Amino acid sequence: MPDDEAEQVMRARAGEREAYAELFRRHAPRVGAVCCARLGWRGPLDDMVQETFTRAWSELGSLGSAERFAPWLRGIALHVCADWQRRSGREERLLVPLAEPFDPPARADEGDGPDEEGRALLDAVDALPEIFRETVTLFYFGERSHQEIAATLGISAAAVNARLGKARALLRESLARDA
Amino acid sequence: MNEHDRARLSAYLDGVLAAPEAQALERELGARPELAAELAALRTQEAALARAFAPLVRTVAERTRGLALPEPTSARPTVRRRRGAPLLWLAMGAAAGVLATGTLLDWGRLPGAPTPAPAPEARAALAFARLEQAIGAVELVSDTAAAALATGTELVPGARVRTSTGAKCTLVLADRTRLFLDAGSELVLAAPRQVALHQGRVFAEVQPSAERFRAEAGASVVEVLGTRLDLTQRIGEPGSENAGRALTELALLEGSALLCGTRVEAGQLATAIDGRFEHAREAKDLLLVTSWVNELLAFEPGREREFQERVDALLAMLGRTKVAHLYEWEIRSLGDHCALPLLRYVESEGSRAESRQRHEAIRILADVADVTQLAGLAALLDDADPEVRVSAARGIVRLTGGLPGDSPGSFAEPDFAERAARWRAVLDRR
Repeated sequence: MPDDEAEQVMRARAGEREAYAELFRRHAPRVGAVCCARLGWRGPLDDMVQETFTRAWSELGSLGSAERFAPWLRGIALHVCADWQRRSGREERLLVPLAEPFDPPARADEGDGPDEEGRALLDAVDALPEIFRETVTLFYFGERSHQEIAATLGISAAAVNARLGKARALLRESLARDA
Repeated sequence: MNEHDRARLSAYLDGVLAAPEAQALERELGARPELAAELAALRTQEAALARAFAPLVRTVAERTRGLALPEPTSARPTVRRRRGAPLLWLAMGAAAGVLATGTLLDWGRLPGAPTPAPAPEARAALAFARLEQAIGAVELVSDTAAAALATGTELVPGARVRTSTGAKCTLVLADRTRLFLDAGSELVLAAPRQVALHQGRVFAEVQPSAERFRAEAGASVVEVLGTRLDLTQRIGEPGSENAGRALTELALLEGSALLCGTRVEAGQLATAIDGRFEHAREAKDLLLVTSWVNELLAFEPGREREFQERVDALLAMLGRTKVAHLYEWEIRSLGDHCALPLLRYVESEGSRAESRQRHEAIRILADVADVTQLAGLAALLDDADPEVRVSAARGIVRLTGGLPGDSPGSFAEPDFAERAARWRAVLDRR
């Protein structure tokens, strides 16, 4: 956690929205990664990020230690994703008898999206067990710091390294199988 | 290749392997071709993963640029707003109803609106204090029990009032001092001009008097004669510098106050810890610090001037800050209470010299206006500023559907005067 972050959290909790805006800028990619790991890369990531920060703003008072902001935010993001999954699950159940097999909107790959190789790779990431998927996604979403990922996930940096090593190996195996 | 090798290669790839171990691995790579091949494959995969994730990162960054928070549920309108009614006559009919009766129609209380207290004339003179309004569950608590508190209930000295999560309330004292209690707070009404905040947050509008108003917060004491202040009491978070200590924060909007015996001036945010004054600094924007009160103020009659001042101050900030969207959000969060102040601002002569703020104001007004602002919007259809005309037309279209063939954008064209006259004629007929 950067030195000034705890202070920013305290200021945001006191109602200073500029401080919260700075936290948003700093943590939005991280929250996007958490949502991506939970919903898959085709999920409505931007909406989930927005909803997470909206919800977090109203619940800042319930945050325990300011130093725990990143894992606390991750918890909210997971709840937001779970709510979305419940909602979309209901919609899916309603739609399936009336329509063709459900095809989730490929929002993230509209326009300037990943190429074919990238899509295959992202699909392979989506297929990883969750603990590896989240670590890998956090890493490639721009975190690139084992320490920061460790703080977000509430685990040690060594555990992050172990998960990344395993995840990379699993990805290689998966892609070799599909080749 | 085992788990240990994988972990080492992964750490080496990410540059987090300690220098001695990295050097040892580099020596090993020369002797173990399968290890070198694995590292090369990982590097290739690494580049491919970075390429694959890049568009996602970009998409999220672009679509969430800025903190475009939606309007909060606070400060909901007291009159149901008609959005995008398809026909002009529908809106005008409603407006005519307003004009004919001289009063707004009661379309019912919205979910989330506070339970109002009985009308003032129905009550006896206030002996000590009363729960004036409440949003959510408010309780009267003792050491052993808690009971739900109904709005309008008179309270006696020593009453301990608690708001649950998500609840807020307004308490009025016999001297007309008003206390706004935030969610998750507990306040004891000790004596006529004495309260004790056990936890949470209170915003006080203290009536001026020769007798000091005293607010205790833990071991800290705030003393004022008459002012508006925001007081917070909480315990330092575990693991923080002030873990377990009683933190008191005072934001003072007017005049001066004493916090633990030290003078605090208007515009300052002061802190005391465990009953000792720590420091005071200029608050960046007290309007935002105290915005949580708006949800309660929005339901109070006679606050029009306050809302006008607030909207004017927030509009002024739009041109001065890099986080203008936060101020815009704050304006929008006032719900219907911002519409009339925005219209008054756009109509004012003074605003014509502040074109940027004027444009922001009319843009927001176009989104939030209700039928009672239709006449005002119609009058702006031939404003000298094309952006104002277009936004005014957009607001009218939102409320009425507009006239076929005339888009809001057409009011930027040179023949706007003729078009404006036609629109106003239709609005007048209706």
